[in-house]
Amino acid sequence: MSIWANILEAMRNLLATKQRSILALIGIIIGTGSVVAMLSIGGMVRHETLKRFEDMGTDLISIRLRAPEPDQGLGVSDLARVEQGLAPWFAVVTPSIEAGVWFELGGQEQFFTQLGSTANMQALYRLELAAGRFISPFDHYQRFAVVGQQVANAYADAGQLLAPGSTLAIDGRIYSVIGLLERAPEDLFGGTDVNHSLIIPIGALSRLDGGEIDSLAARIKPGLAHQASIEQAGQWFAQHFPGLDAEFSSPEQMIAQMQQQLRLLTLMLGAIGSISLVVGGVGVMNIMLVSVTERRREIGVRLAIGARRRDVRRQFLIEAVILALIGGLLGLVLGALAAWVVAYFAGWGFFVTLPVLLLGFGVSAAIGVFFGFYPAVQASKVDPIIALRS
Amino acid sequence: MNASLSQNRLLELEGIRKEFQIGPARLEILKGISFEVAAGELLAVMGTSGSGKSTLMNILGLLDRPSAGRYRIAGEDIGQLDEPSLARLRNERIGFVFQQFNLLPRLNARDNVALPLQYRGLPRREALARARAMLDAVGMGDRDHHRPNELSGGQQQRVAVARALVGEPSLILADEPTGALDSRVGQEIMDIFLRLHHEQGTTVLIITHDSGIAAQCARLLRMRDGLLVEHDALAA
Ligand SMILES: Nc1ncnc2c1ncn2[C@@H]1O[C@H](COP(=O)(O)OP(=O)(O)O)[C@@H](O)[C@H]1O
Ligand SMILES: [Mg+2]
Repeated sequence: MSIWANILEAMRNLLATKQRSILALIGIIIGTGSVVAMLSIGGMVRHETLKRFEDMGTDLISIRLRAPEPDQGLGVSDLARVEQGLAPWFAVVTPSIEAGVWFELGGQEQFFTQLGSTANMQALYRLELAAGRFISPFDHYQRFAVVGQQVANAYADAGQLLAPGSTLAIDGRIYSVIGLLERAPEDLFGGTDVNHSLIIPIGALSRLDGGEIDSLAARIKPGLAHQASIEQAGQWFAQHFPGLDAEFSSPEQMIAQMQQQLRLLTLMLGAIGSISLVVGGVGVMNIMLVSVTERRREIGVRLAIGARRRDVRRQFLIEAVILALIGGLLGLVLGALAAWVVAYFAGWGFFVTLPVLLLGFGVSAAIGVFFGFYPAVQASKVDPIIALRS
Repeated sequence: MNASLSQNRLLELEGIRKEFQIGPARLEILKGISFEVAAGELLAVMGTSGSGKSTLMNILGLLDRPSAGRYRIAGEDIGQLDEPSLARLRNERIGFVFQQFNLLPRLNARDNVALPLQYRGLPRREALARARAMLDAVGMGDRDHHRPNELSGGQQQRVAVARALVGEPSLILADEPTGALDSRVGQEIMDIFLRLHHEQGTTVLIITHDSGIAAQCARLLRMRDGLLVEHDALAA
């Protein structure tokens, strides 16, 4: 008998007992659904993370500097040497000194960061200006400020519209505004939010706050392997600034971290998925065993008209697989729906990939084969004499 | 014995015995049965209930193996054959008709009749076309899409006969085919067998309790308690 004839027959038999069949499938539906949801959510998180770094480029590295002993830190005067030393791996290097400040603005407590940096920073972070200009290499000690978008908003809320030429009094210091930034991607890298910052020439800030550089940001030169470049740059630091802890972070590491955080969800869904699939498989096995018992006479008749035992086995196996596949299909829909709900509330773009769907389908087919095998063998062992006597 | 005669022998049974394990006891149900059937014969088997008729038919139809003795179909010793070969012989050379019709309840008449051809490996379309033609031949052409539960007993048995005949077997084994039908409908089924026998020369073996049916057969085997007690040729 052809495989199509077998499939047709299997469908007919399943339709004849559809209520019972659907009930038996709940485990497979939930199991396949969990697997599909798990993989889809994982895929979407990865995609979202990558997308966020895409705006800045995955070649952007941040180096957090910490000097456990006093006077071991990196000063502004060391910058030229560092830039030169890192030149084999990094194209643009920009330092930053961060000084957070709380102050009152229009009756509200505000937290801003005074971020001392250099002209390179604009290119490095691809910052867009809304007005005025960015700091330039000639502004070294000037108390100029380029205002982040959230800072400008806070001032606007307090009734003060900032523009190039405005002056700001923060923490007892006077800055003149030379430019205003467009909104930048949040949590730019290294944890500083440019939107909540005033960008100030590093020389000016180091005079005011003492000169230890908190972090460097850099772009890996095109064509270099990221991880190797980071390692080599780290060795350079260890050699030339032994008293300094240089902690590198790269987009790859951040992505890895996020995926680490996803593991709990993955484990949970994976556990639910596997348990449900086993329960579902046992459900399929059970319903197929019931079916074999109920259809003994039919099996006897089939043997009498010339079915081989393996024809009978194949028929029942195909029936089990189709049953499981129907569960798998419903599970795919359920899993995609769950992923959609998560994407909706997380504000992600929703997508389900073909490999995930194929895997979900494959898993349910495998369950059908595995748990359908025993009942199919039982069916093929029916004694036609006894089956036809009943 | 000359060659043409031995070629003409479709079935040869020698000392066929069959035991069943029933609880702790082994019961011998067939106690040594020997007879021959020539190709093209029409014969009836009679005997009291429990005398072993169905057991004999299962062995003849290759659904069961004898505990002892030798059985040949068209000269081939079936004791030597494995399960798939027996299945193939059943499919190609034997057609069963049962008292209880035994149609598959979820298939319509045409699909039921097509089934033996599908197990033979025929494409579904061809199998269905031949099934349809066979249903026409037994007068059920207008019911080909009916399920068994939408048919009367006599109609179901016609479909079952069509299923037995569709593969053009050389041997029809019918176990009380009219036992569940009233005598008029039973005779209609018998008429199909008679026509088949006369027109195609098919060998037909009918187990029956009905002496009226048996009287229409050329030869009668009578069984009692696992043995053939009478082995005579009637005038046809
Ligand atoms: N598979 C079996 N297992 C045990 N006993 C059987 C089996 N088949 C038949 N018998 C017994 O064999 C005897 C003959 O049965 P059967 O051949 O069906 O008789 P008949 O068809 O002549 O009425 C009965 O007593 C029956 O109970
Ligand atoms: Mg009987």
